[in-house]
Amino acid sequence: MNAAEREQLFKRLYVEAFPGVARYIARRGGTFEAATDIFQDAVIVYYEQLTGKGVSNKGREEAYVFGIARHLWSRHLRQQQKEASLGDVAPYEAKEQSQKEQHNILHYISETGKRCLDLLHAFYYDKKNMKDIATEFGLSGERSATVQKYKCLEKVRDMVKEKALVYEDFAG
Amino acid sequence: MRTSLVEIEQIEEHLLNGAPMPTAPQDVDGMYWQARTYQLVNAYGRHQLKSELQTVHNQLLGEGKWSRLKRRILRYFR
Repeated sequence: MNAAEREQLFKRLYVEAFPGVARYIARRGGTFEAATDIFQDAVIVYYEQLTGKGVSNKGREEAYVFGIARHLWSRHLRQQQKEASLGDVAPYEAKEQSQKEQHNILHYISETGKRCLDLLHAFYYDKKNMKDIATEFGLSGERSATVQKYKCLEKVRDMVKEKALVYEDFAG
Repeated sequence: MRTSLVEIEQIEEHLLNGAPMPTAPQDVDGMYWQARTYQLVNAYGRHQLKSELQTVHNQLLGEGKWSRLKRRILRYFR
């Protein structure tokens, strides 16, 4: 799916599915901001299923996304209850630190290895085929794109390792 | 392909397609960091999607826009 197709999908889902999700969450005490977050996360889950399994739910998209959103909202409430009942917040500090570390590493790689990150993103996340990747990244063909993919994987892996180890040294 | 890239391919076959685990000692370390790299690529993908979704959100429901869609949705939160 290219960027234009994704935009069409997202606009369609906003018009068809967001009102139902918003009403569901509003009736359960959630805010407009929470409904937006949950809806966007549900769309991301749906997109990953579309690209991963090639499943098309066009006729039932609205219901499918609503189902995912309902599940995410339940999980959100359970997480809130768990956090409220905990006296020791250390486990959640560790999780926040891990997310912060990932964010920092991602920021570093986006700055210094963006082309490689974009190529890996095209293959592993958007599930584009090698022919399309070769065209998009100006490579001579599928074989060249495959070799470049592994070179990028090696480069980004080494950057992840380097940054993660430095971060661990500072974090203690 | 050079040897290091062949090793990466073998690790990928194991991590993503269930092939037998490579057994050379350096592969264990490489496997860990390659798995983390896949996680990072996923995180990057989700970050990009969130950004695209927020753009659509702002187009349809942003500040200063009073579309029928926005009025309908905000009514639920009064």
